[in-house]
Amino acid sequence: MRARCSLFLLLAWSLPVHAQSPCTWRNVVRGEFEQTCPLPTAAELLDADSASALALKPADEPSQARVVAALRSLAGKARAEGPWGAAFADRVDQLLQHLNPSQCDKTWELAFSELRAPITPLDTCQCAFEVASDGDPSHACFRFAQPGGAALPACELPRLRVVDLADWPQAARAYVLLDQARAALLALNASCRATAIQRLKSAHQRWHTLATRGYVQYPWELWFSRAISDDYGNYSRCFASDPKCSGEEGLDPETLRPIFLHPGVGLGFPGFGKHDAKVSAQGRLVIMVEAIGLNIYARDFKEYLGASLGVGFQDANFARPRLGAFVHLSRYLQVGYLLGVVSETAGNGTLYLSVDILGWTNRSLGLTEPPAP
Amino acid sequence: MVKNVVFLVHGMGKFFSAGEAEQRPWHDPAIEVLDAAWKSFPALAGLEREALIEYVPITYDQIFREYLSGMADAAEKLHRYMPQPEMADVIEVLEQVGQEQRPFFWENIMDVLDYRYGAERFRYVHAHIAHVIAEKVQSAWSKPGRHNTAFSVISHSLGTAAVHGALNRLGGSNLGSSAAFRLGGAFRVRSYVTLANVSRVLWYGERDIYHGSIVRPFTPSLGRGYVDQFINVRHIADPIVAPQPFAPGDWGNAYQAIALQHVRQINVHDLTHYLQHPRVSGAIFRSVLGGDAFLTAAEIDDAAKAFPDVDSPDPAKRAQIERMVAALAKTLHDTYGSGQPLLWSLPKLIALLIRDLITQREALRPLLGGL
Repeated sequence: MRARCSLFLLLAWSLPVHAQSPCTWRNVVRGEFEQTCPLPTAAELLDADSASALALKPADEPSQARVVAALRSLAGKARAEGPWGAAFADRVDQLLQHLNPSQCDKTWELAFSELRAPITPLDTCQCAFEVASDGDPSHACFRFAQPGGAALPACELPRLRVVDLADWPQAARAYVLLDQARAALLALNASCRATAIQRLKSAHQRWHTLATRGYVQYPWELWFSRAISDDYGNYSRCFASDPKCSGEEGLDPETLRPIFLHPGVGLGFPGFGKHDAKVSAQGRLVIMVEAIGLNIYARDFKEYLGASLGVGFQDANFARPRLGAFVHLSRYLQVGYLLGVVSETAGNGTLYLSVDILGWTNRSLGLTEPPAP
Repeated sequence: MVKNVVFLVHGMGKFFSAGEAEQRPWHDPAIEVLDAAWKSFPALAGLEREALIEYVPITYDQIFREYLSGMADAAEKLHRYMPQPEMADVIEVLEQVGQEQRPFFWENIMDVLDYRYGAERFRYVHAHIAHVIAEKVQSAWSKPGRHNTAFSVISHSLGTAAVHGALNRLGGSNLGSSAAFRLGGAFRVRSYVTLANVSRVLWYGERDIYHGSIVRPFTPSLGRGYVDQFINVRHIADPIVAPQPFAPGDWGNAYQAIALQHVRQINVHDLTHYLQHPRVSGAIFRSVLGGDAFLTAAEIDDAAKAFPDVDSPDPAKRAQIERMVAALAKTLHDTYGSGQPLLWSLPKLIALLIRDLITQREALRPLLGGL
């Protein structure tokens, strides 16, 4: 009795606490690989060099050529797996033949390599994983026989190819081959994504710089801008014209920005006209309006130069307007020359200096500019 | 299977991201509600949400604040870019709003009108959102083992129009001579969730939004879309979505519409209010994660049955509030029609909708006291 108990205890102790659960489609969708649904490694499926290249470890410095060669080798292995593999291999070969990793202007149709958790209603099909999506020729549901011999449900969704495999190991090989291909193809396309991102970043920076360092435009100036601008300054016209404000169209702000009836305040220093007695260092208040003008921004919008024509009123004397020309030298500094045209001020010249009051006020009052993107 | 990234995009109002102001970031309450919902589903409660879903909030409100900083008076702000006749329309509606409610009125209307009338600012908004999404995609896909990360979007109110425009920009054409994010390439949106969708009201395309946009699922007649599943949610008593509700008729099974009528706070338009309902959170989790393997339709139904429209132990009060919600819904339908052409200028319409939202809040306030 004691010996039987000891033997029983020995056996109980040596057996695993939990018997390995059979792998089901739910386990795969939930990513419960490890013990439940073991996956082969790339090294087990591919030759050593291909596996190494597809590991994409920076330390190994896999060149694009090596990755491409490894992908071709992977496609060859997939081809041996059956009809799904042949179709997949054909897509890989086609992609690699016609597209250059440095060629970004063509769409890399990589949906055929994307492994996905099934989107409803594919879950009713008990797909272990989905490849691509509806509308893509490679859209497929991969299934494998479930434990207990339960039959897989019928799955007849439009445009969907159903790949039924005998067991999890077959499905696992498919999973790993697709997974490896996906990683490699995305890596080859990474520089193209970086190009698009850099373009968006530079556009974003331009908008931010314009907003925080540009010459403020009043509502009627914005209206005037829209009236004379191309399609994309105008909200409704943006939608109406092709390609509907996508991609590059209207991505950046316009570098030529009109000035229209822009009021301002500055200091005038009289004595610069041919009829003036002497130059005065005593600044006089000048209210001015830039009637029409243009600011030209640098491509990065950090600097601009502008010029305008307008009228000024020294000492706020609106009965004696002085015609003027102005030059914008930066966001805050503006210089101009005003010439009297009416009665006793006719011929009097005033040197004009001004700042962008609104912007100066914001900074001096500590109204912080939002952080740069 | 893989970690999922879900972008959160806010709507109209004041929204600050983490560290930008003393206020709590807008996304914290939204994520808290989603996490509470996660734990409420027995099928999900034992799973670590962070291992399966990463929420990435996108804030674009700072773009409006950049342009309007330094202008204390809201009416003055509006004068900066609104045409005079439309300005008069807005002021006319404002005068119907009580003094105490005017800050709420301005806070919400400014963003919408700035987006629509603030000259080219909508392009800045689109560029910003597109940039955030693209950078996150690159960042996720470059991490070891995350090359199959899927990306989804939850947008609310004005955010539905803003992110719609951003995705249109990202996927509609090449950027910097790169087609990397273009429709048909590697990137697409797995689950696109719109709460209080106003993108139709703010759409000016030659064709209607259902057929003129790439932000839709695949259909045999229209071909490929940028989105795998489109989930559209509206509350029947939310005035903001009353005019021209978003309702495609021919998008097939990839489009799911959810109508809500629950009340948990006076502002039924609020983002967290939408997310609170298990039909919404359940649909999001089910679509993002992978269907029945994580959460079944029956489990969502069970959760919805246990979530009363009005959470009150007093049956009389429950009935009273439910009647009010139904009455509000009917009034909205009678006033704004159902998909009919707009009778008002857009500024007036937006002003009316916000006025109605305020009126509705005040009507619900005494009834919800103590709930």
